[in-house]
Amino acid sequence: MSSDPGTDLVRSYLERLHAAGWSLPPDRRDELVTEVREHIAAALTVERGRGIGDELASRTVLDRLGPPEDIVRAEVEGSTAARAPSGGYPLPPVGPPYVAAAYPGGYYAAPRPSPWGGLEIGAVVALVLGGTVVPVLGTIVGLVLAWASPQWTHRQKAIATLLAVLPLLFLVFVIPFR
Amino acid sequence: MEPGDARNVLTQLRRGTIEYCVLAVLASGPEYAFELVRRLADVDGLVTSEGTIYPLLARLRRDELVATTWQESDAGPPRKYYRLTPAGQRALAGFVAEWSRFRDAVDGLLPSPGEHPPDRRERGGGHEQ
Repeated sequence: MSSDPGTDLVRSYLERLHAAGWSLPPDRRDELVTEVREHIAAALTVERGRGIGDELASRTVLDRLGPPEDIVRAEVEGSTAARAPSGGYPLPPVGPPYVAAAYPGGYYAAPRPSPWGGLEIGAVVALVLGGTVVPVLGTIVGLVLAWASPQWTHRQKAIATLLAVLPLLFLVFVIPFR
Repeated sequence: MEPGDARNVLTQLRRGTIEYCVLAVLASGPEYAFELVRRLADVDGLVTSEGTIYPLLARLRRDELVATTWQESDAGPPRKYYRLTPAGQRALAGFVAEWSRFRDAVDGLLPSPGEHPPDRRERGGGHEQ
């Protein structure tokens, strides 16, 4: 292992970057670290060409790159620097809430709110009651709530409507003819 | 308004325009990643930390405004080059048109530092001539 302080600085910087990127998809994290590593190598070559010593060169290059946490934040938020959403709101930390799961649009999009808010739960409860204890009225209330939801897609709402309405059709058209 | 507001506006402007600055640099030809980053970082006040350009490049790649290719390099291992895609060219052209209008409009209103506002009668503007 090298006792060269410049190399140690670079290695610990890249380790920090890798650690800060814990919430990124592994492929992207590795790719980002690779890109930054290659950048550092190219930048150090330039500095060496100017006759600058390794440790000073490393410090300069890493300084210009900026804190690894800022790079990861830019990755998570899709911006080029730490940015408040609007007018000076404090930034959330790059931590557990920003798990890079399968968000639509990829992990560059802001996390989508959960499809299960109060409105949606109320819709489901009303629809279930509408299918059992409180027919018609429960169903109507449930469908109104479901369609009012900002979280559910049109497709989800259409499916819910179909599932809710089918039993009603059964009640209305089949039963009277028995 | 607070004196700091102008700085905030500039910060917002930088963030809003930086991706088009990337596209503009690539418009003159493909660039090696490191060169691209340095060119952008050398522009006064455009980026605070060079490293944050890499996530931006990844996003542009993902949006298919830029594409990457690997090219042999005599200086060592193959290098990743960024180039503009047709979609990127269209995006840049659209931005240039909008930006020019906006910039001219704002410039037309602003006095130069230390000067009085331009005389309205002297500044005819292109369409009135």
